Amino acid sequence: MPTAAAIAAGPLLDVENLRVDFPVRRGLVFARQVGAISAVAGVSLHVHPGETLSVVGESGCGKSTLARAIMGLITPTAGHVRFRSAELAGLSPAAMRPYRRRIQLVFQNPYACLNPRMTALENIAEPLRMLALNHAERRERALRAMEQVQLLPEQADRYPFAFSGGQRQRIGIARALAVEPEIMILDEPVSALDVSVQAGVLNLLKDIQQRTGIAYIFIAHNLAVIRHMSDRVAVMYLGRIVESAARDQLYRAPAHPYTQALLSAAPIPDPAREQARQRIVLTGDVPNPADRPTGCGFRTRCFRASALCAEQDPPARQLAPGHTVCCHHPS
Amino acid sequence: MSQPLLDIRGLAVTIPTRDGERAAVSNVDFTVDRGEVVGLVGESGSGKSLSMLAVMGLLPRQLHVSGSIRFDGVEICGAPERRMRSLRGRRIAMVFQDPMTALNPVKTIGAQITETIRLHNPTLSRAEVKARALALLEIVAIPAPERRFEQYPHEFSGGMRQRVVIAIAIANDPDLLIADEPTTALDVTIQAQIMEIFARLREERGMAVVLITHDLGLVAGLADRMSVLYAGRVAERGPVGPVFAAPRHPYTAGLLAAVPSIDDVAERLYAIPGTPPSLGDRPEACTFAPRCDFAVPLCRTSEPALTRVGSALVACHRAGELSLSDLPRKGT
Repeated sequence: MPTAAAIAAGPLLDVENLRVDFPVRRGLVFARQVGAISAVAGVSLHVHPGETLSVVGESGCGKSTLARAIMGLITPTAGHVRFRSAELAGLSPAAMRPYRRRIQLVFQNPYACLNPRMTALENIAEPLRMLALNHAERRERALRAMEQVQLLPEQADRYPFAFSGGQRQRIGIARALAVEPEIMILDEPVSALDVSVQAGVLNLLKDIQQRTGIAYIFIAHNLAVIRHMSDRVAVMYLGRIVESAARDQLYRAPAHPYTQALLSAAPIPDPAREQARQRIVLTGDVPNPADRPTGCGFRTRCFRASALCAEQDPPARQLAPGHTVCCHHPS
Repeated sequence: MSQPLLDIRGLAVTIPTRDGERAAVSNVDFTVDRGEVVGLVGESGSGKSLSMLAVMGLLPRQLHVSGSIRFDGVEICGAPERRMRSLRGRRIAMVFQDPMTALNPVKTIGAQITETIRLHNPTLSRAEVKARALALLEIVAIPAPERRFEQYPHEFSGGMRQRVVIAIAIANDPDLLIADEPTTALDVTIQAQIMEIFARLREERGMAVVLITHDLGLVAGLADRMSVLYAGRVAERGPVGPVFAAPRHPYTAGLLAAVPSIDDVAERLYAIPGTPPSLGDRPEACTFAPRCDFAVPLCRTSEPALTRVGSALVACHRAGELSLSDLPRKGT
């Protein structure tokens, strides 16, 4: 939870109208651009210090591309990424470097992002090379990061293969924490883990936030996990944020039909409630972003779609303070 | 009571390793009645897929299977491949997690469905086979089946592919469908569609389903009974309602408490300490004892047998005496 003072001081990260278009090329020798896929089609969001903003959406909705564009790993086509008022969008890699330390990214697959030929400690210490630290200082900071994620010092010299999935994700988190970032973007950090191990990593992330006041952008598809982790939630569909609100508001009074469908489709581990609930089952699949429907992107699967939805892209409207929805027929 | 459709007794699967034979599944009892949905729950490595592959006779030859697997009253454990072939796809079918690898990328969807129908019905005419294939695509709710029939798997989305895989699995109206994490690779809204198809198959065709999953929510929504596997053994089994309402095994209770809830917010989740044991170092006694908050010395010396507690069978020395409804939300 961010403090009142933190909110008054303005957002830590402010993303405005961010777009990422990927060109579609045809032809082998004389390749020409025949179109563009908007993976991120105008996204605005902000995060305050100490706050967790979750981004929920299904595969292909653009949530990972959004994370990479914020990090500057993909150059956005248009829009702004401001970190403490400094513009990051379009910065050269060299100009971006000082900010890299302050914004860190943790990936879904904890095995793929660790170097298998480096020990746990070397993996964690590697990003510290960009700071002016000597070997002993790097080692000391990496050990401290290990301790923060509850790995034991005697595990420092083991290689990634010797760790379980949950422990590897802890190494991934320690590696991001070692440089003492102000914000961490977590891209599906627990979805590759077994249920019994997931809970430990989620608890750990909450503890770290409470202790350090770090802000998170938590990207996931599991609505129960998101409810547990977030202060605010943004729902993404086909490259856009279709609804965003404070957590309890969103879960209590979802207004966008897509949010409602997502909530009603999430399985609940309680047989009595499962049998009693009325489910909204959406028909069809997410449209191809290269072939976006006219008007509202969700109308092809929407149970409330009207003629208006095919003609006009619904603008964002505010239902309550902090609760915005892009829908012609919110309820 | 009539005899169960599938009756597994004392199933064991051992895997040869450099250090000798290791039991990946040991002493598993499991039954499925006609038209019943049974959830098989466990984490990766718990042996849930291996046990069902043993039923299908699809395990690699190096793995050693023992125990009894009776399907419709007939012993099929160790049955010759020819017998298994006449059962597979006709009376027992299986759906796997990844629909892309289950389909042949260079054959049309139509060819793959008709192949399965023809294999077990050599006397049907071409037109009859095609009509049946189209009907199957309709059952699994694929729009425009005529057009889809001629298309290749790459032209289908993940959810659509999984429907095709299900259509192939149910092509010959099997008595038992084994679904191994059928929706794990799919999105929530697509998952809801697939689960609806399973519910309909059971209702309209009386098909029995074994749902292998790690998602307790799916089991709660579809299954009548459930078995919880841990490290190759049954920890707890019983009717879904009572097991969810009052789990008797600390592992089942831990799993339930570890999942965040979608409609209320706990500050902390219960985290089961440690990680599941690897195949090489499974404890002799209770396999869960090293991670159990309630273990007593007995748990480290003797293996608990499955005993009846209420309506469930539980493999825990302390099953009767523990109150597991309020696990401590501590530790990370």
